[in-house]
This record gives sequence, C-alpha cells and structure tokens, in this order.
Amino acid sequence: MLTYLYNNKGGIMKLKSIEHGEIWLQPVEKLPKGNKSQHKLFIFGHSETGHHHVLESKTKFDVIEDSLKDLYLELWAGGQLIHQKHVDKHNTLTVAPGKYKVIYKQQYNPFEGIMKRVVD
Amino acid sequence: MATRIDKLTKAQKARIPEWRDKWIAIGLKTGEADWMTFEKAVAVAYKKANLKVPKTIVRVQSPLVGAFAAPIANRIIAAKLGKKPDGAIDGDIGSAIRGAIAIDGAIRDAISDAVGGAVNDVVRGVVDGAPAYIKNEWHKLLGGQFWTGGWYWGSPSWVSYFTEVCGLKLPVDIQERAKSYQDIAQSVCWWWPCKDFIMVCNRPSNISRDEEGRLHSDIGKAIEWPDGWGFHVINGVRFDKNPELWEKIVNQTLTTEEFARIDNSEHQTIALQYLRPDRLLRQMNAKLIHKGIKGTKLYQVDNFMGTEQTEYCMWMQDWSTPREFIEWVPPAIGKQKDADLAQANAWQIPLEDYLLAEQRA
Repeated sequence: MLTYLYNNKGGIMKLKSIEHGEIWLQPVEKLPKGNKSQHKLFIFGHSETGHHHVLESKTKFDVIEDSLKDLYLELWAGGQLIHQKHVDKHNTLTVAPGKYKVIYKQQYNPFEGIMKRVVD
Repeated sequence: MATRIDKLTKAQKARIPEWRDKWIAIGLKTGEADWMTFEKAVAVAYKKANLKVPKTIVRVQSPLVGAFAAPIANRIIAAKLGKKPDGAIDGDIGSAIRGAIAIDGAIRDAISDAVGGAVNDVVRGVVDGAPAYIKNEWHKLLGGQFWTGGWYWGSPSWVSYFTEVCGLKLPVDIQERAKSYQDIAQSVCWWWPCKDFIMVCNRPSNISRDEEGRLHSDIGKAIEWPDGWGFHVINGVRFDKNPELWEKIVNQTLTTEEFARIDNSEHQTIALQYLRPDRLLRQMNAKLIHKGIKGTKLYQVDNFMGTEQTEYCMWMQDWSTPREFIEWVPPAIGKQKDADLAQANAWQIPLEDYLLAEQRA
C-alpha cells in the first residue's frame, strides 16, 4: 500500500516505509481513534540493554495508542529516528511529515510455536 | 589572569588531550574513596548553599544500597520528627556550586554515557518495583566520579581546564564552589545530599572496558563494587537481568537450543559472535533454500532438535553494522521458500510494502 502526501509546493510525494532495527514505520492514510499525546521526543519501548529507539522532532508530533495498544504517529514536520547507542548502532534516519503506524518486528519461537516481539 | 576567554592559544589547545585523559582517569578510578577530601569539600558545598552541614555522613558500598537507603532513611527520620520527608536537596546543592562555564565529548562518552549511564539504568531497573517513595527519590543524587564530563553541573573537567590551563580567573565565591565540586568528583562515586544526613557511595572496586571504551568483561562482572554488587556486560550489552546467559556465552557452553530460545536480539548478537552463525547453522544441519532480494537468507532445518519437525530460520545482516542475526520463521511461511516473504511476515506487512521500503538502518 502506497500512501501519498501533498507537499507544501503543491506537488505529491510518496511516503516511504522506514525500517529501523526492530521498528517499522508504515505510512497510513487514516489514523484511528485512541489516546493521543504530544511529544518532541518519544521512546519506542525501553530497551533491556539500554539502547532505546527514539523519534525526535523540533515540532511536536502526535502519538496515538488505539484500543489494541497499537501506536500511530502524525508528524507535521520532519523528525529523526535515533538509536541511543555509541557503537554498533543503527544509523539515524529522517522521517518525513505524515501519518504512520508503528510496527514492531516479531519472531517465531519454534519451541512455543508462537510469534513474539523482537526486543533488544 | 583573564576574566574572559574568547579564543584558545595553540599551547592551551595542545593540552586538551592531557586534560581529557586526566579526567577520564578520575572518572574511571577504582578502589577506596577519598573520604576525608569528600567530607571537607561537601561541608563547603553545604555552606555555600546556606545549609547546615549534617553531622551524619553514611558511607555505603554500592549505588544500589544508597538508592534504597537514602529515601528510606529520609522517611524514617521524618516520621520520628513528625514532619513530611524533606527529600534530597540535590537541586539546592547543585545550583549553589554549578560553575559559570561548561569540555566534554570524550569524557562524557567515556564516563557518563558508557559507564555512569549503564549504572543508572541498572539501578533504575531494580528500583522499579519498589514503593513509590523510593522510586521517586532514589535518583536525587549527584554523580561524583561519573559526572566529571558534560557541560552541566559546572563540569569539573571543563572548569579546571579553563582555570588551571587557560588561567581563567573566576570570582572568589564561584571559584570556591567550583573547587568543592571538583574535589567531590575526584573523591567519591554517587552521593545523596539530604538535610539531616549525607549518604555517599564508595568507588567501584573494578571497571573493565573493551578497546572502544564500552563496559566489557568475559571473565567476571564488568563493573563491581566492594559489597559485590555489579553486573555483567559484553561489548556494552548488559546482562544484568540474565547473568546465567552471560556465563554460558563466555564459557561457550550455550547449546543450539538455548541459543534459539534467546528472546533479546542484542543478547543473540553477542551469543552469535561467540558461537558464530556459520557454526550454529552447521550444527543444526541447516540447508539454504532461498536468498532474498534484500540479502536475507532462508534456511531449512530438518529434524529440529530431534523433534522430527522441520523448522525455518532466516539469517540477515544488520543494515548499519556488520552484526548478524538469526530469526526463526513460522513453518507455514518457511515452506513457501521466499526469504523476503519471511521478512514481510515478521513485520506483519504485505510483501510489496517490505520490498518498497527505501530507508533501512
């Protein structure tokens, strides 16, 4: 599914998905209803090993948690996805303004036969 | 002597590495704290804050003890005196002795982030389940040796560089405040300034790091205090919640099954470094069945762990670093023999969307 955004010059640009470690930002057209909060810095779940993935922007952005506890973002200005680590870190990526769903990678556990969220 | 510095001379710049190394060494000092210097300097700090110097100074042998004991003691004392707990007064003390200027980078990376930050995180993790009055108060401390870098709190490394190397003359009162803070940072680890007592932690008995300055040890705890508290770290990856895993990794006694059960991807990466993915895949008799467009390799493992079941795993390389990962794939997906499909399934997105992503890290 491709999602488009009208940029401020009247053109259309395609929003792109972003993969950052075990976090995926998937562009969406609509945001669900849910608990909304505003941030300039948001941590995507605290890392067990202390190396958090953080979204930072100079302009406040919305974080929405829906009834299924899924997270969505709405940015009005660009942001940066940062991995808080000094070495072996994921590169910092730029996030374009738009609406996104936050997806956490899952891994199959062959012993339990279920999918579990990948953590670091 | 100058009261303002706008530019550094060549000679002053030439001494930056020496000053940086000196304060990194102070930040990483182990062994018995210099209690006498601390007690003299802390008395100055309290007086500068117009506070009565407490008669009681309690020495503790690890940050964890202080993190619990300081808020508990505050509460008990308040109860005995029939008043609300005052709480630690780090804000008053900090403001009183904060220097006028702010060096850093290398020192902050080496000490505050790589070492002090890790200690902070581990203590926070332990305190997380404690009653609210401990959870809300334990962090009201000053970092001692772990706060030698950074531009905040009148960083001792910065202030001493400008005053001792560059000859900056500060007003007498500011200089005295700066000196007291500098002496404290050189003498002890964490400390909790309270109205009725001061609690102060001894230095670590051991700090081990790798060549990149990260906490690291494959023979024992990477950082440890005299009472035995500390934690295991390999190349900056903590094993405070799972020291048994650390032991199996470093002793190379981790079985393939145990490796497969590791949930945490950073622990898994470390385990792979010691196990090596190629060795692990060979041990499992894994068969390469597909290489995806984005570089992921999909393997089939017949008779997985003697269960007679066929399982599938994907090998991938990190987009930003040379690290490698192995992740397991549901059999229904693995049977389709498409590595990119396996990735898309792990991300819970359509294959088309997985292939179209352009930014990856």
